[in-house]
Amino acid sequence: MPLSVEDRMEILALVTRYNHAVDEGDVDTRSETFTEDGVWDSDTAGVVTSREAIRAHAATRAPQAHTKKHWTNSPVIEGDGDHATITQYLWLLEIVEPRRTLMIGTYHDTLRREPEGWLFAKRELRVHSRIDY
Amino acid sequence: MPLSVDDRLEILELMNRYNHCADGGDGEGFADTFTEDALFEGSMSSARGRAELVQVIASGGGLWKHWLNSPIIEGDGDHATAKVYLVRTGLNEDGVVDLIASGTYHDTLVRSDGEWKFTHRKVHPDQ
Repeated sequence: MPLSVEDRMEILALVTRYNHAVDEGDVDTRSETFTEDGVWDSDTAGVVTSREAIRAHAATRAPQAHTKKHWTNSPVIEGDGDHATITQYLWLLEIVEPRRTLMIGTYHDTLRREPEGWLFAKRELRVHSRIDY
Repeated sequence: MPLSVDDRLEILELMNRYNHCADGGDGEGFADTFTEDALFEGSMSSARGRAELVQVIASGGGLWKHWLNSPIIEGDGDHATAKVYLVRTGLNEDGVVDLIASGTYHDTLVRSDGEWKFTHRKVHPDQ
């Protein structure tokens, strides 16, 4: 069954929830956007497998809260039934002086519909360019 | 009743109309995005009620643009809350187009006469 408009809105809302959670250092909400067996594979953090491991990783990054904003754009969503993918750009913005661009990348996400809604089964972040920070 | 897709799209469009009115110096249009007795708490000014809301925009704007991202919209029936990222672009002290400010809007909305409007919009500046 093709994705409905509701599915697409929920998937966009999941991305948005992740952005706010990571930027605010909300470790629980960030890790709960992943399935129990979820995988976080990024050029900055390596591969982290399972929600618990993602929670532990997120906790190490929480001290950086309120210094960045994850700005996502140009989402392309595809899928069928209980499986979907979303590809989108990431602009990572430093929100404290000197207020600059830290990184540009692309998220390649795989999602699964769970009883609690759409969740990330795997997030891949490929970095295109970044400065040292 | 949970918010429908239509509700969410209408609220997103309200946010976009706010940007166009604020950036285009349209005080009346800006005030139209709020209820009559709404409270706006910006980073540089505040306004309560239509007369003050119209003046907030009439007194400035022109060079800036507001850009939004990552809207979180929650609600039920005729009431909603939203959080959405904001950056404002404009000319910096060197006359170069740049990010001038960033923050997050915290919104309270109500559906009044079939239209979603802000009852309270507060900017939480990043610094």
